[in-house]
Amino acid sequence: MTLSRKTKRTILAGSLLVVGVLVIALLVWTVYLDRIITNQFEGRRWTLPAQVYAEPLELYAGESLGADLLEQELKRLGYRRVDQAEQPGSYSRRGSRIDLMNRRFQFSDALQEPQLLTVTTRGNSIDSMRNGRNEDVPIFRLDPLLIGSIFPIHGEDRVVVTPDQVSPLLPAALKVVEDRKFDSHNGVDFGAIARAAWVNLRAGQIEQGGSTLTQQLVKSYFLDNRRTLGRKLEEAMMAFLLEVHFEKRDLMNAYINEIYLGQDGNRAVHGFGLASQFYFGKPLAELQLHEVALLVAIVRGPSYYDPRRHADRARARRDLVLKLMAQYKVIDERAAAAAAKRPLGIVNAATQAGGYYPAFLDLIRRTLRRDYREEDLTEAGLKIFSTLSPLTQSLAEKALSQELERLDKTRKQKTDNKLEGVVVVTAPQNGEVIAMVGGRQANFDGFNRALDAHRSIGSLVKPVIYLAAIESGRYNAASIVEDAPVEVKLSNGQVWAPQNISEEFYGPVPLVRALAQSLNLATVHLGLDVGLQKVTNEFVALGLGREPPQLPSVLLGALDVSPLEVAQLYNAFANGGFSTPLRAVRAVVDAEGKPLKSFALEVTPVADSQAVYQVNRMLVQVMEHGSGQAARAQLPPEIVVAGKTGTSSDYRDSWFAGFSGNTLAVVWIGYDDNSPTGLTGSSGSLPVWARLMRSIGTTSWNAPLPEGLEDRSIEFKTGLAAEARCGGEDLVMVAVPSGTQLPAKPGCEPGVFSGLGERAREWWRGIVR
Amino acid sequence: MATKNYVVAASSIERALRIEPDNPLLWIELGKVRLAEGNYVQAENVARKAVSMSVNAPRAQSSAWRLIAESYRARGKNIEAQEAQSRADSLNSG
Repeated sequence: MTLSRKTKRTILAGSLLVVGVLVIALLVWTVYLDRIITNQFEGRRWTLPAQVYAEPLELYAGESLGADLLEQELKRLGYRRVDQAEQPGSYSRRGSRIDLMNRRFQFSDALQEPQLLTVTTRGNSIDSMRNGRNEDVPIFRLDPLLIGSIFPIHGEDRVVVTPDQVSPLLPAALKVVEDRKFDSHNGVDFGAIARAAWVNLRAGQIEQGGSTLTQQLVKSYFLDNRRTLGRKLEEAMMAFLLEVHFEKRDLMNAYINEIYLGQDGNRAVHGFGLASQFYFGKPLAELQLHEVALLVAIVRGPSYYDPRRHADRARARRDLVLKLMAQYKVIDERAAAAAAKRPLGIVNAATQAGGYYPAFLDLIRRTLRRDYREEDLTEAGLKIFSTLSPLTQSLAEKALSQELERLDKTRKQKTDNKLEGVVVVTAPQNGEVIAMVGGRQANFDGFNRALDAHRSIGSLVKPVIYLAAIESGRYNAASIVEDAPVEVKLSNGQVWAPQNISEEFYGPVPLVRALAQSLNLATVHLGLDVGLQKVTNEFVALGLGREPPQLPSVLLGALDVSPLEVAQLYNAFANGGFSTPLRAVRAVVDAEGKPLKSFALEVTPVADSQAVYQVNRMLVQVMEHGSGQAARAQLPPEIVVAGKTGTSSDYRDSWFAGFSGNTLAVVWIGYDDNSPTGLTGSSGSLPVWARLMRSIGTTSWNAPLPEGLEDRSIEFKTGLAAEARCGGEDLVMVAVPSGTQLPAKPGCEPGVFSGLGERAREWWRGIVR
Repeated sequence: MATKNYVVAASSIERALRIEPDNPLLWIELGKVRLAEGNYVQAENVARKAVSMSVNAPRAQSSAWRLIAESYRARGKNIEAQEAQSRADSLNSG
């Protein structure tokens, strides 16, 4: 059969048309892919999550920091112990002397170049510091710990590195293991594909990839994970185009920054820069051979070769990487053998630099959202200098978890329902939040109780009421108030008749005792006499963001407040009546290190300093004579601390808020479902607080007695002025306005034993000096 | 402070305050920076903080009152300024 000439011509024309269309389609496709690549790849290649740093460790002569503690902090920063500290990020130790070379770091206010620092310690403190030229160094700031980053919702987190921050071993190892023809191919290695196809065909499944580094980069950067033929072609074409446009060196650097290397909850670890921090707690530039080899091993399967969960697998593959490196002469056999003997060297994710502080980061994110758009935080490469003290944070986590475990053991009635807890620690004088634990699993990124658990604060309200009372000018620490039944008719017609926890009445008592023993009825009488309006105003003045309802039940703490808000309130007491907004961020700088914003220290006087001082002295008596007494046994006897317990109705919430000279800590314990815990503030939260205060080696609260006040000795029970020599019992020292007429215990009238109070006063002064 | 780099100046004083929060002289230095940058209210507040912690250090307290006086003067509150100044002077002589 022959076709007519016309038909033949039609077929030919049709074929040409089809070919033409295909060629055009191919061209269009190529141009399209080319556009994608050049647009995305040449512009900003990665979104850079803001990096968050802890507060730097300040070293200075006289600081209470022994050699052991300093070494522990250097290890936390990923410093390597060597025989002679010559590289940044390393140190050597001989007994009480530590030589270190810091890392280069751009602080918000200055650049710190690496230098040798010799720290000589004596006992538990720094004796002297000298630099490499043997000059005295009064104060020195170590590079701060990177504590996390603010990554976007899809979870991709990375620390971008430049080629000069990468050891040449890394690209060499990557080439040997993943792509031996990298330097010569055009994006696709057909030999490798054929080899992989052969292997896969024989295995009947996909076992080996023939992808070049460029193809892996394309897949990670532009494509999803589907392995279809169309995808493969697209990937190959894009890889080819990338090779046309960019230098090998740029592609290698892109690969190093792009590739996925691990998972931490909902945070995806991308790039070797972050992986180095995540697995080893130090910068990529400081990695040694065995560490580089491990990261290269992980590339093939970050979950399969996860060194934390599958150490044996990861180690076997690391050693394979080392073998290949030796085989292809990247390193010599001896180096490979030596590196293969090293342990994996992975840092513990929870306690070390790879650690993760979700509650604190959450606070930072919320703080910065007021000033920055979400994209600026997750993409623009900002550096955020925070106030977190990693040491205090780890001690706070430990104090909480140990006490919760102890409480679990002693109370066996509940099994499923786990007690939860929060610790917030601030530096009262500048309002910096130095530690924040949002739950018993501190590294769990979930409900942030420190900010979002608004719980009834019980007797934690009392100091605010006592402050309002003393500020009114009608009361002082020794004034008598009646602890007697009280009934208040509410607007809804009901009658409110509160009780003391003991369900007893204590009669006339001095203010100091009513507060120290947390007497409810005396407090209600006092609050009603001062006036609810004055009391609720006081909350706002001290820094609570909203005015509490003017209900009598507020006097006993029927007020839902978050632990962070409690810290803000108590910070005003600890800071002598000055309010300073709590801060988690000191400064923000942009990707080039230019300062964008600093959160400067601001103080505002919010309460009469004499009144605050009187209340604070009463809070000292809480610890000496009242509901906080149990903490005394935990703390050195010469350390003066002040605080208050809080227990909400039916024992649903156990609180303690208290401060020393340099630290304020608020502790909450309860159940998430708000069911009763059976714990008081003293039995639950106080031990956590005491353990924390002891472990951080806190200093005494020692505010000077303000002008216009004087120390007086009274009987704790009766409030009568008395001295030991005239038969006074259970004496306490309170501060009252100078010249206050106090009723005296019979036989202790003024003039009779003038001057006998001196000894008690001396005792108090001796303690606070 | 010739460079007018108040942020850096304040930041290094804050650094020192973290180490010695009870040193009134540091608070006074911080107040001087605030005064220089025109933040008169913070200058006064910080100086009041210094007053409260220098009960037993009359010379420091005198400087703090002088700073309060200057911050009042800068705001045109001359009567208050005079009062603060005389407190400063009385502490200095005594």
